[in-house]
Amino acid sequence: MVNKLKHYREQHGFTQEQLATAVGVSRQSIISIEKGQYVPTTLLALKLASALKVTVENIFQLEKMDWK
Amino acid sequence: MQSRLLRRAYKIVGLTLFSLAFLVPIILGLINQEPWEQTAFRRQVANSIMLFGLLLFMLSREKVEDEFVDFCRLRAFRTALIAGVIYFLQDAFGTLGGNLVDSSFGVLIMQIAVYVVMFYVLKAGLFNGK
Repeated sequence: MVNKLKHYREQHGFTQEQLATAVGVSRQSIISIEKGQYVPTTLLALKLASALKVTVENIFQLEKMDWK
Repeated sequence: MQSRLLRRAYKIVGLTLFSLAFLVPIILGLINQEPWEQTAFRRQVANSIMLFGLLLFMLSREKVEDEFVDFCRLRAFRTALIAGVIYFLQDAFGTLGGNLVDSSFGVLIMQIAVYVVMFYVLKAGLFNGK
């Protein structure tokens, strides 16, 4: 899965800490999502998209290998 | 999502109980020089307090409780459970003569230790857990 969280966060001028506070999680959660170590739930994905004023599909995109 | 966990202060209580139960029998043993048989009951009490302390530690809240912490907790529980079964099987059938596990304390303390280490490794992002 392609994950553009870091790109949109930086575009918005958010630090990891600020984004974490905005969506109510720890900074470590944001780090793990950005590294691709953790895939967030739909609820958190929607919160992230809302905080960054983009759609969930902008941040997370499926790849061909995800269908296998 | 609200997890039913103990307050964060119980982490310190748990660690204190564990440390005391671990150290006091060693110190008393050194001072009194008693044979193992005479201290067996005391050792059993200390082991129980150690387990209880670690249980408090693992069931208390983290600074920030979110879905990632829940994810780490579940992964750590799974790893600890598998490690416990492997340890039991290895101990029961691994040695010559089929020596059955006589200490549930050994299995439990190992499982909790694996849980605690795995939880903090996952939480720190040192291992992706896949």
